[in-house]
Order: sequence, then structure tokens, then C-alpha cells
Amino acid sequence: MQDLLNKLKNLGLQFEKASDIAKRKKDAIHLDDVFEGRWVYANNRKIFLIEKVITYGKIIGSKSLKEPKLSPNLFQLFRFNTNPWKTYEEFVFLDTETSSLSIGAGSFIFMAGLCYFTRTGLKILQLILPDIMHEILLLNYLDSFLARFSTIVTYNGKSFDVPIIKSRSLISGASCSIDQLIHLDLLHIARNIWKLRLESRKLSDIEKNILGIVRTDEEIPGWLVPQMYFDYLESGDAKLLKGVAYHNEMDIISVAKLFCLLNTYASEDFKQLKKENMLDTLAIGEILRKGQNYQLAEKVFEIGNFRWDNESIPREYIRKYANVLKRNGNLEKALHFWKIAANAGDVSSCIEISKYYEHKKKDFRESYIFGEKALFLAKKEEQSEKKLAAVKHRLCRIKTKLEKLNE
Amino acid sequence: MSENNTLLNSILSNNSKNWHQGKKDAVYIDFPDELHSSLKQALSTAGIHSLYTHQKDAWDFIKSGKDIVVSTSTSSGKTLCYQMPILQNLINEPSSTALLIYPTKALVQDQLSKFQDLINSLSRFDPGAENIIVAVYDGDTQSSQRKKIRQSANILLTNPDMLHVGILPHHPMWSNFIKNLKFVVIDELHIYRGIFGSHFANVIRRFERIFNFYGSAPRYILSSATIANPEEFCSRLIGRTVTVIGQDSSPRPMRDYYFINPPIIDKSLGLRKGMVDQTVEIAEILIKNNIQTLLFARSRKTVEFALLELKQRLGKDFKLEGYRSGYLKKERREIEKNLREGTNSAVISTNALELGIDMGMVDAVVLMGYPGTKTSFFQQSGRAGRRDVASTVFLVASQSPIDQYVVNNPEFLHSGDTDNALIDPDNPLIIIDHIKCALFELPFTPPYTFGTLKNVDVRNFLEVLCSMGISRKNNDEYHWVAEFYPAGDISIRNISNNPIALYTSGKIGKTRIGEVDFQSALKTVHQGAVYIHNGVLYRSEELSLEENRAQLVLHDDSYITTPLSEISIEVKEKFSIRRKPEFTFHFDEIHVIERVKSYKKINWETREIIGTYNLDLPEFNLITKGFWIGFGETFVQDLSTDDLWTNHPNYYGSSWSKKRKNIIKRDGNKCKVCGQNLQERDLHVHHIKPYRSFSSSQMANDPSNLITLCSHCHRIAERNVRMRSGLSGFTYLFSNLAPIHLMCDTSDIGSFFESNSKINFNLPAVFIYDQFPGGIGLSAKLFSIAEDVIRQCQQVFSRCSCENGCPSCVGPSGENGEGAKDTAGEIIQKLMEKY
Repeated sequence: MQDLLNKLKNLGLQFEKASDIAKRKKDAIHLDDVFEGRWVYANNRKIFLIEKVITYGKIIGSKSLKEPKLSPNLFQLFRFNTNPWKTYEEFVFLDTETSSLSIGAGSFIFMAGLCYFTRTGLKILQLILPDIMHEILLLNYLDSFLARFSTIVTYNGKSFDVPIIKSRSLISGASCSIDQLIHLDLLHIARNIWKLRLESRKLSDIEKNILGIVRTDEEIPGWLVPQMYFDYLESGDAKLLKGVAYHNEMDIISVAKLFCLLNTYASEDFKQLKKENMLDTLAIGEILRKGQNYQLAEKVFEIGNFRWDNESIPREYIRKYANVLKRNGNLEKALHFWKIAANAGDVSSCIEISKYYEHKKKDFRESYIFGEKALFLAKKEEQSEKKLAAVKHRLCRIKTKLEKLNE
Repeated sequence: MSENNTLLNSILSNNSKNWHQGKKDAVYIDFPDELHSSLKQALSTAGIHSLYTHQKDAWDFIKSGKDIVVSTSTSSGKTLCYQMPILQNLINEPSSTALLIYPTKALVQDQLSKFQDLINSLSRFDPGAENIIVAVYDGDTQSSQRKKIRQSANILLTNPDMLHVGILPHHPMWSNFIKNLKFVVIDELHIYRGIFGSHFANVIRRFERIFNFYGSAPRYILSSATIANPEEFCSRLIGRTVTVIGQDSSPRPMRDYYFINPPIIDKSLGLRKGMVDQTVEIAEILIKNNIQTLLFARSRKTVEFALLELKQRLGKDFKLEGYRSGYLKKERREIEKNLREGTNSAVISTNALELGIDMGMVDAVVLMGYPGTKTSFFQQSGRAGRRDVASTVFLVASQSPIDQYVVNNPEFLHSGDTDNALIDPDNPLIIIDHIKCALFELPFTPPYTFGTLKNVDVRNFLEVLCSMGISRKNNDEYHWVAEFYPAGDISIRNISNNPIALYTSGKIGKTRIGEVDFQSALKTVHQGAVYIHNGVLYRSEELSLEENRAQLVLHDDSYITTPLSEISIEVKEKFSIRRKPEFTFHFDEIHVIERVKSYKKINWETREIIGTYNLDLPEFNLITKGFWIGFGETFVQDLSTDDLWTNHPNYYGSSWSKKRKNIIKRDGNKCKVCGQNLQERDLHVHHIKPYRSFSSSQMANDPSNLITLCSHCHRIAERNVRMRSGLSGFTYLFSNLAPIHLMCDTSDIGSFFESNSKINFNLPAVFIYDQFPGGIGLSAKLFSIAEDVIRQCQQVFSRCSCENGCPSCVGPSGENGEGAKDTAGEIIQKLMEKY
């Protein structure tokens, strides 16, 4: 091997081994020296298992943990037709730590964090891979554990954790039935709810700004995680994984708490939203509208008794509300709100009003006025050529109708 | 018109050779009985009512489970050889899949529409065929489409780069496709030579691991233009023995070939009329006679240049179009259509039109320069030929020795040997790249299989990865343990792993205009170098090797630069030797150390040397494989020295006799070599560096360049100078002709000579080596065919009528030194005599 290495070096191979890679310690510090937990063995493989319970009432971050109440309306936020759930015990929360932050056949999971609510508190499980050869056991254990639940809840799991679990199970020959579970990826809904309130919708930002959890200085940033594991493999020092385990535990707790918050929002037919932030309420109204749940959406939009001509309401939400009213057959009321949005400078609302006058009232003059207003605003906002063309096309058509009328 | 014909006749009669290729009829055979009737009907609808016999042969071999390569001419129906079995199989097993690999994106698009047409036609007779999904997966595929393609495609068209970086590293997402894989088609196989081919062979090795993992065992259907060694080449490329189908039974139209050498316009410099001028002259006559013409140029720049010239001459009466990469897809489709329908007069193209794009046939083809390989020559000239009418092919030669060889010896083109496509998939640098990717894709378990490599070698490579900290071994299993994505860092088309980026700064800020590899950067973009990119002259302001970048500015002065480097070569390991009476051929592992010491500024109009400037650049080390010729003592002694002083007394400037006396006085009336004390008139004053290599007589006659010698020692010194000149000329010619057998560019090999080489016991030696660390099989081949190249050197040399050397033979006179041509000729002659 040394001959080959020398030869490659002579040929110009860039020898990439970083000088700061940890050296193998004389006395390895094992996982069980560092963490409280136990080994799980099967077929000459082993993984390390950490189990703990956070009882209700205990403080996490800065807030105390409460027993969740599963809202019978939760399913409507995720666009299911019927409620698939009976109890909060059906949900398992999952977050994995991997050898690379990008996907590809070579990325593997070295730590899987799981938690679920019980009658007494939040149970936490972390599976840790002591070395790469034991991967199949971790994946098999994970698979059979997940099978106890109907639903997994993740943050960005649809495009990250789950594809990696599936791909590595295929490669290592582990069983994988994850596709048979319901998967709630909270990333998408969180993006929709907080897109106006937060600059970034990373889990850590939501945790800090919405859930009010503060991490201690045990935390290590996500981008450092793979290197910590490689350093552990190289040095045999399991202490290096303490920060990673903390990071992982906090991530799953955040996902679980986010889940609880959504249940709170959905409780009592969403009436709870009265007490919540206005923007969150409007965003949830919009989520329901997108899910074509127009009756409920109308209710949610009206729950806060907002003053719609108040400047603090973003004009697009006024329009969405009006669109819901239109869907529910209340055109006159919709017109009222489109006009408020139009006054606030909303292009689409102007178009809606123009359409309304054209088709419902056959008032082409009024229709033309709002069409022109739409074009003026669209130009001011520098909207795309395609959109401008559509507005221009509309104006032309109405103009022809107007001219015909005048003849 | 008659005037035009007279002109054409005069061009042809004065400077050309020609040959006539007769018509050959096709040999047809019925569709195989077992071919589905719906498929027969679909083919009939497309105007195909029977097969060429070679298509039937392909069918039969595939049916019997063989891997095949179809190596036949352009337009011989190679596509059908794989379309039929793939569709037949899909009718029987609707879930089966096939992967088709083409070397370029343009080709992929072309083949997609062909395949789709046939499937559309098939579904009229077999409704089930509507479910066959044929799709392209390459860098241009939209990400919203990718998932659907992965899950549902039956026939997937892609390129090697995408297989390498987009498919293999994500194979779990392709598991259904790979599990059902029945055929792997690799089209235009002859393109995969050199470094690209050596990489691609390793991509195939990785692919084999993956499909073995999923338990599938696809057959290979390969297709190639005619090459000399299809069997050997395929077995190196895909690691299997394949059945060669080379008996071409497609029809061949009548074709007249003309080989045109532009006339000499300056005899002493050996300068010929420009290739483009000559071509334009011929094309103008053809076009005016309504002969639809396709012209092939070797560079994009020449395409544009020739197009401009022709447009100026012909005005707007004729539709002339250019075709090259960089044109929009839509434009290209339009030009192809115009060619097919005969609605344009002429198209000037790069080799982009050489590969299997469907564009019909034209009346005449003009090749501007020999395209480098016989394969390309016949692919390009194969575009000429309409049924029942004789078509014409012109090859217009450039000044390069290869072109001069071909134009004077056109029989070379249809002599027995075709090109040898060479690759070395076992180059360790290339393997280590792909072992990384392979390990990323799947762990290695005993017995550690990777293509045809020995298991123990594979293990060694894996151990190297372990020592680099990116692999981990547990219980004999090797796993990938690193954060990065190895395929993303490895380009399968490029040599260099730390290229130098070229930047220009203009109004819109800094722009990256391209890159060069590290070694070339030292020579071409060192500080002060004039660098030509896309026909624009730039000057390098700074070369930063730390940041891997060079800063260029527009250059509007009238000089160009040429680097002066010092090379030394050491032999690391001896592989083979062939002894001849007075010289030896060697094939060894060598270490080339090159340092660019300075550069010359040369006025490009007068060729005057403006000055020489020193550089401070690091040396470049290349360990590679090399072929070298070592000359023996008698060989050198036998070189004639008779004419050393008899030709004409040299003029060394006005005050020479005074300077001469001073030097003799300085040296104490002694020969500085043998120490003999002699009369002044019996002593000679020698220029250590030849007089003519200086830009001024003052510099040449500087006392530090002058030395006193006796007549005997002077003769030896001059012979050394002579030997250097001759070696230089011979090396120029040999290294320029060698690529003709190696299917490579002149830049793929390096050359070097020294008149007293340590490696050859202080006797002269000439080296030709692979310009890629570890070698890619070029000099290995050269070692076995050196005699052929020397014979060709002799042919080119003896036909060249220049006086003192020119770009077409031993290099321009003046650059090699006086007498270079004669001495080079003697060297060639003696080499010929002694083997």
C-alpha cells in the first residue's frame, strides 16, 4: 500500500488528509463512559441507546412542558380529508444526524433522535452508531421502532432524513417500511405561517423566536456535526459526541413543541387563534384556503375581528380573505374587501374588481378603470413582462367591448 | 460556368492527387421472423422494409446473449441495431429498461426525437407501446421533471458526465430503473479515447458494481465508427470481450476524392498559400455551380473566418450558414433541415456535424485540413453522396507535417491500418478518483471487485483512501466516511485537478473567460505572456499560483511571446528496450522536470526578436510514461561534417576581425579545449551560442559568448551545434507526425531532445512522452510503431521543397539553426537504414 501511495503522490495526487484530524487516543473513551444508556446487540452488531423521559411540568428552554391536546382539527392544516388520528400517542418525532449535509449514496446516519408523548411525559430515544459496520442494526432498530406509530413528524424530513433512511437501508440490506407511515413535514407549514414574521424559517429560528427555547452552550452548530463524528471515529473519544447528542435532542424537542403549538392553534375549531398573533391567524386562514377549506378559512379570517382597513394588515391577506368570500358566494362583501386591498395598492385585487364589473355588472367603464389601475400598479412594481402582457390583453378586450357599446 | 470549371481544373491538376471510389450496392435480408409484427409494420411505415445483413447479424448475436460492437461506416443504420432489440424486449416485458449513452448533449436530443418517432409509429400497431417512456436525463433536464423520469422512464438517454455525477452517486433513487435494466447502449464509442476514455472506462466499472448489486445483467450494444482495434478497445473500455460486427453491407455511393496542397508562395521559407484561402476559392466555384457543399473546419474560429470570406465573395445570392457548438439548438435544427432539404448552398461546420446527427447527404464535402484521424476523415467525407450521382470530397492541406503527409500519401487513408483508439483505464491517478466514487456509492466487501483490476490492487487503493481519512475499514468492509461528494470534484473530460482560471477585467467587472491546466499556464499565461483566446489577443498581467488565477488585459501591441524553458528528464523505471545496430528504442517511466526560465518578445510581422525577459516560476514535475530514441556513438560520428565551413563564410559584423584578435589574445593563443598553443591564423573564435540566435551582433559578439578553439576542436563543437539543430528538426517532425497513429492531439504528447543526454551516456536522445501523469497509453503504442513514424518522417521530408526547413517538415528555419534540415534528413536516413 505504501508503494502505491508514494506512486500516487509522485504522480501529483493531492493528499487530502487534514493535519488537524484527531489522533487515535490510547485509551478509547466509549459511548457508555459518556452517556447514560445501554447497548443493543444483534447478529454481531451493536448500537448504543440513550433513553430518557421529560415529565410534564419540567422546564425546557425557558418554558415548562405540558401534556399536548390533540386537536380534532389538526388534520385540516395538513389537507387531509378526514381525521386519521385518535390520540397524540400515535405521533413519533424524528431527526437524524448524518455524515454529510448533502444527499447521495455515501451519506449515512450515525445518530437517530426519536421522541413521543406518553401519559407521563415526553420520552426521548437516541440511537448512536459506534462504528460504520453497525449501520444495519441502527436502521433495522429504527424501522421496527417507527412501526409502532401511525405518523412520523419531522422538519425537512421529506427531502432529507427519509430519503437517506431509504437509500441506506437499500444499500445495507436493512428493512424499511417508512413509506407506510403518515409523514408530517412541519417545514412547509412553518414556512407558510411565519414567512412574514421571520426572516429565516430554519428550525433554530422558529425555536428561538416562536417557541422561546434557548439552547445552552453545549450546542454545536449543524454544519460541524459530520466532522465531530469523523473525529470520534478517528480518535475513539465519545466525548466529542456530547454536543451532537444535545443538538439532536433539542432538535426533536423543538419539532415536538412545534407540533404542540399547531395543536393549540387548531384547538376549539381554531377559536384559540383569537388570542394569538394576527399574522399567524391570517396565515392559517390562508393555509385553509389553499386547502380549499373555504368555510373554515372564512371563519378563521374573521376570528380576530380585525380592522381590515388597518395598515398593519398585509394587503395580500385582505385579497385572500376577499377571494374566500367570493368562493363562498358572497360577492358583494368580497368586492368591499378587494377595494380595500386595491386602495392599499394590490394589483391582483384591481384585476378581480375589473373582472367583477366586466362579467357580473357589465359595467365596462368601471371595469376599464380598475384594469388601468392594475396596469399602473404592476408597472410601478416592475412585475414580469408576462403579467404585464396579461393585464394589457384584458384592457384591450374591455376597450373593444366599450367601443362596441358606444357604436 | 466554363470559366469556373477551368479554374477548378487548374487547381486540381496542379496541386492534387485523387482517387475514385466506386459505387457499392447494399446487401439486404428480410426482417427476422421473430421480430414482432407491430415492429415490422412500424419500420415499414418509416420506409424500412428489410435489413442490411450487418443489422441482422447484430440482431442474431444479441438474441444469443452476446455483447456486441457495431463498427461500420456513417449512415449504415447503426441506430436500428439497438432500437430493434430494445423495442422488441419492451413489447415482451413492458417494465424493462435500457440506458443509452451518447458523448454529447446535441446527439442526445437528436436521438430522442428519432426514438420517439419510432415509438409513436409503433403504438399505431401496438397500443401498449404508448406506455413506453423515452426520456433524456442530462444537465439540462429540469429538476421538476427528474423525479418522474427516475421513476418511470423505460428508455433513458444520457451522457457519460451525467452517469458519473448525477446517476451513479444517487443509485438508490434509480433502483427500479437499474433492476429492470436489459441493455446498455454506448454510441460513438470511438470518441472515448485518451483521458476521457480512460475515465469513462472507470465510470463503466462503477456502473457494473451498481447493476450487479441490484442483480441485473444487461447486455452491451456498442456502436463505433471504423477503428483498427474495436475488439481490444472495447475490452479495455467495458472490461468484456465483445463480438465485432464490421462487415458493412450498407450501400456506398460513388465518390471522387481530391487531395489539394496549396501552392508554394515563398520557396525559401517553404510558405504555402493559406488553407482557408484555397478552400474559399474551391467552395466559391462549387457553390456557383449549385453544388450543395459542406465544409469542415478544425476550429470554431476557422468556421467564422471562412464563412465571412465566402460571404464577402458570394454576396447575398447564396444561403451560407455556419454550424458549431455555441449556436442555439433551434438554429442548429433549422440548419440541419436546410441541409436535408437542399435549401442552403453551403454549411461550414466544426466536427459538431461529424457525429451521428441526421442531416442527409450533400453533393460535395471540403475538409479544411486533415481532421487528425482516419475515423474523422471518413465520418466527415461520408456526408458526401446522393444516390446515383458521383459526389466529391476535397481535402485541403494545411502546413502541418501531418497534413503534408496525408496530402502527398493519400493511399495511407485506405491502407490496411485504421486508427488505434488508445486508453489506459489502469492509470492509478484515474483509478483513485473512481475508487473514491465507487466507495461512496457502495461499500467494498471481499473479494473487492472493480472491473478487471486485481483484487489485491483494489484493496491497496482502498487502503490509500483509509490513510487519507476518507475510508474506514471494519471487518474487511471498506466504507466511505467523508462529508464531501467525490463525483462533484472529478471532471471526466479534463486533465488537471488544479486548473488556472483566466480573468479579464472590463467595464462589467471581472469576467472569467476560461481556464488552462497548471502546466500550460506556466508557459502560456506567465506574467507578460501574450495569450490568444477565441481569436482575441490578451496579455497576462499577473499569474497567481497561490490563487490559481491569471489576470489578462487586451493586448494591442504588435508582438507575441514565446516561452523558453529548460527541461530535464530522468528515467524512473525501465520497462522495455529494442536494440538496433546504432540506436535503441526505449519505453520507460520517466520524470520530466520543466522550468520556464524566460520568454522572448517577437514582432509578429517581421519575426524580429525584441528582447528576452527572465521569469521566476516554479518547476513543473511530471511523472509519466515516455518513448525515447537513444543514438549510439557511431551514429553520431558518421553524420557528415564536410560542409561545415565550405558553404559561405559567415558575416559576424563590421568590427569582427578586431574582436577576433582580442579574444585570441584574451585566451593566450591557446585552444581552450585541448590547450594547444598555436599561431593566431591557425586558431578559430567560436560563438558558444550561435550568432544567429541573437537579435543584435553586439550581443552575439559579447566576449562572454566567444571562445578560442583549434580547428579540430572547433569542428567537434560545430558538430555538436549541428547535431542540436538536426535533433531539433527531427524531434519537431517526429512529434508532429506521431499523433497520426495515436488518435490524439499534438498537445497530448510532449517532446524533448538533448545532444548529450546523461540517460544515454552523454550521447543524443529524443523523448516523446504522455502529457498526463502516469500516462494514458500513447507512448506505449509509439514504442511499438516507431519505425512507421520514422518512415513517414522520411516521406514528408523528402517531399518538402523548402530550403532550410519550414513548418511543414522540420520546423521553421532560423528557429532550429543553420543546416537543421540537412542534418535532420541525415538522421532520418540513418535511422531508416539501420533498422
